[in-house]
Amino acid sequence: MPVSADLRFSDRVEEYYLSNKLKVILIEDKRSPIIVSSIWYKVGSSYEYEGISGISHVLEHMMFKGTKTMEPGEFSAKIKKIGGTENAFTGRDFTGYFQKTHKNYLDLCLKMEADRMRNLIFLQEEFKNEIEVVKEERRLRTDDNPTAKIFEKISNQAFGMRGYGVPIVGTMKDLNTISVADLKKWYLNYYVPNNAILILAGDFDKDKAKELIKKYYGGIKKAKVQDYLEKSNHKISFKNIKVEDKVSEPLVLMSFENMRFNEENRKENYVIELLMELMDGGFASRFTKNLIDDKSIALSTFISYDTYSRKRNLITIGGSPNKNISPEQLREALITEFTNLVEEGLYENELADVKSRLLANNIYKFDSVFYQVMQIGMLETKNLDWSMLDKYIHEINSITEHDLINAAKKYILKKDYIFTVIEPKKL
Amino acid sequence: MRLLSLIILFSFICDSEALSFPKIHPIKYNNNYLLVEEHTLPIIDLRISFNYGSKNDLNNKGITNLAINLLGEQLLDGEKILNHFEKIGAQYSSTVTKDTSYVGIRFVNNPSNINNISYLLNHMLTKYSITPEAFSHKKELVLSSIKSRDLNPASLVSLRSEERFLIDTGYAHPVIGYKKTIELLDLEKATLHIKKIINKNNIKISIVGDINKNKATFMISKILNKVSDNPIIEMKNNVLNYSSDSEINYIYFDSVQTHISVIFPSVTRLNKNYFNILVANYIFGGSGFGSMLMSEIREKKGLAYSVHSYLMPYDEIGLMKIGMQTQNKNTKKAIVILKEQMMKLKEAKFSDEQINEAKTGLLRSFELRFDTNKKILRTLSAINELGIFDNYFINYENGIKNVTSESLSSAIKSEINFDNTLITTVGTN
Repeated sequence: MPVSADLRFSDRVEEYYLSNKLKVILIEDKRSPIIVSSIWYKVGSSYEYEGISGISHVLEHMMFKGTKTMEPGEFSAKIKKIGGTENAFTGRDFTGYFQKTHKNYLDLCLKMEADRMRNLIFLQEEFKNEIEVVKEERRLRTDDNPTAKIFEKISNQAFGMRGYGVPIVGTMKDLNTISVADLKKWYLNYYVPNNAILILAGDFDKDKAKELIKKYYGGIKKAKVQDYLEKSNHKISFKNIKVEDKVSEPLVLMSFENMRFNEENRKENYVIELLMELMDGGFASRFTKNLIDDKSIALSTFISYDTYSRKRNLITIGGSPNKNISPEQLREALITEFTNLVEEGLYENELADVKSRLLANNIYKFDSVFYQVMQIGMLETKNLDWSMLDKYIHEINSITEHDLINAAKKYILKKDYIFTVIEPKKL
Repeated sequence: MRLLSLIILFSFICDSEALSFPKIHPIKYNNNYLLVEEHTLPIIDLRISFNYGSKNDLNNKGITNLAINLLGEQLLDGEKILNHFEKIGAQYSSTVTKDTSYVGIRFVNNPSNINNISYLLNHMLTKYSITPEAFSHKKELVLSSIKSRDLNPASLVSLRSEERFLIDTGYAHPVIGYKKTIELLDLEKATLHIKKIINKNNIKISIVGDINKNKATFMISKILNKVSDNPIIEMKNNVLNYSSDSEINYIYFDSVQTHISVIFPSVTRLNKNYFNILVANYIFGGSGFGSMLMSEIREKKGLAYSVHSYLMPYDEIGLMKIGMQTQNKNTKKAIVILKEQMMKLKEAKFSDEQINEAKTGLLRSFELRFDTNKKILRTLSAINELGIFDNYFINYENGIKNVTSESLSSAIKSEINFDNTLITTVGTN
């Protein structure tokens, strides 16, 4: 399929460092008169350990609770007054903050964000309320959510309370004990310019933006960032998991350990991505076509996989069996799809169709200024260079049938995995 | 994430200082076919809206949703239309709401794609070639969704509150229907229903992206070629029948949080007081941090992660809804606060500063709503579906600007019936 593939980040991105080692990335996109101003800190749940799990996320909440120059809630109120939106997010490898406003308000956004990089105050009264809000968030997203709960359990069995085994929201036990002193320590260590990336995107004047960035961030001193993690001896266990919970159908999950992403294994990770897309990326993929449409073995299927992982991670493959099909039968059928690929190779045009889909998706990503920021921020906080986004198309196009077959063998068929079943709870 | 996205239906705001309103062009001199050209990316987004939602299901509750879901499952050359779309990198989607249904397609602009997509969409709207296997799989999926919904406290509170509040109207039942009504459906009924929905007089088309008027005209002509053109059968009007018994509707559910829903009558989108109520809702609970609800429930008391109010302006009935969730033991405390805040809303004692801030916030957020093709399409199709294309932006801007302390207070008194409130909780309380 002829798809335009000439959209490149390198045509719109400029990067540089301030003298305090704050990395600045400017993305020009003048489609509409807006700017997205964001700051990304290299800290998230994978930096945490038992006793303080969830602390990066709690700190994210506290970042809206006042600085030496601003009252609690004032940051949000000011953005709201100018019709802007703002939010924050915590992941396994990053904590990010952004404001999306009319382009006239860049000065305000940069000034307020720079202020809370160093001047946060931790009021006990505010903390007392906010930690309860975070607990409610955990109850909402995890404790009352069978799928989220099981993913937390699987990750914990695989990695323990380290790396990607630490739940982003934290355990309830740790949320009950995290203190203001813990938060201050975390903040002072990680919220420094040399541990952050400022990403600005949208319709702005570059020179003016650079001036403002220097004005507000240039005076903040760099500082040594300490790694609090001690060596862990946790070994992955492939013990099966079986639970009952409030699900409508049984849910089957197979979790395979996968390598972290780096420059050396980049191509191999893209092969895995393409393999997973081929199996479960769309209506025409093998799981849907074979297991749902043709054989009626599965009611639904899914694959959960993060290409750009900073730590060892999991590829989880699963689904719900159709009526009169057991979880074991679905497990076997899912694995057989990989075996069939290895033994029989690709269908006619299959590889070209999947590539077309991925390449088109790569174009659609440019529709949103915010999404461009997210893509770059997520890579940079994992110490991966944003310019690899431009190599993506080339890498995908170079993948062959042979690559896919090798990946299926190496990363799925020859690997042990954690087999999990959630059975519907009898109510 | 620190915040949840707030749902503000049809709240597409404009601003006097806005630099770039999307320019809307009717196609074929017909206001049912609207285009916004956006040539900076080689992407085209197209949405076909059917003036047919679950409110038109009558006794076959859930049939519209099932029928629309089946459209992409039709076969062409032995393969699903969905698969044909995917092969050319196009993204297909379909949605059914209580008032409307639509299918959408996003694709990369090139001459062969414009031809192929038009052909595939036309096939989808004219051939009705659904296999029994596709039908039974979709039916199973819907039945599974119904089971899942009944196991999710958030879905359950919404379902039960709307069933009770909208009783005896087409809006009472859930879009996906019930187990008993879905089980009674067969392929023949579904196909007949599809034929009823797909009718040129029911269809509106909105297009955004890298396409000019001529090509858009070509696409629309090709998509609608030989689509049936029958007179529309008018459905009965829906009138609110709920009468409050002032009791809280407690529903037991084994969860760690109780989900709370509060509903009371409000305005439809075309009501003359819509903008007054929109501003009131912004102050009350529609604008996240700093709103009355967020401030009292979350910021001061830490009772919930998410609390918000929003307007649900269905075509024929307008509602205002409050939603939140808190650990079971705090339910009563939360309801007391919600009631206190509702009393304040009823009294409408808002300062001029509060009202002006709300108006400014609403107006200035306008441009942020048009920064992607997807968002422009969402607005365009909403305008298209409601038939308010003429002077839409000006009317919207003036609507907000004209809100005053007096008009807001009078609108709350005349349009919101606080005595007819339904509170529903789902949890262990």
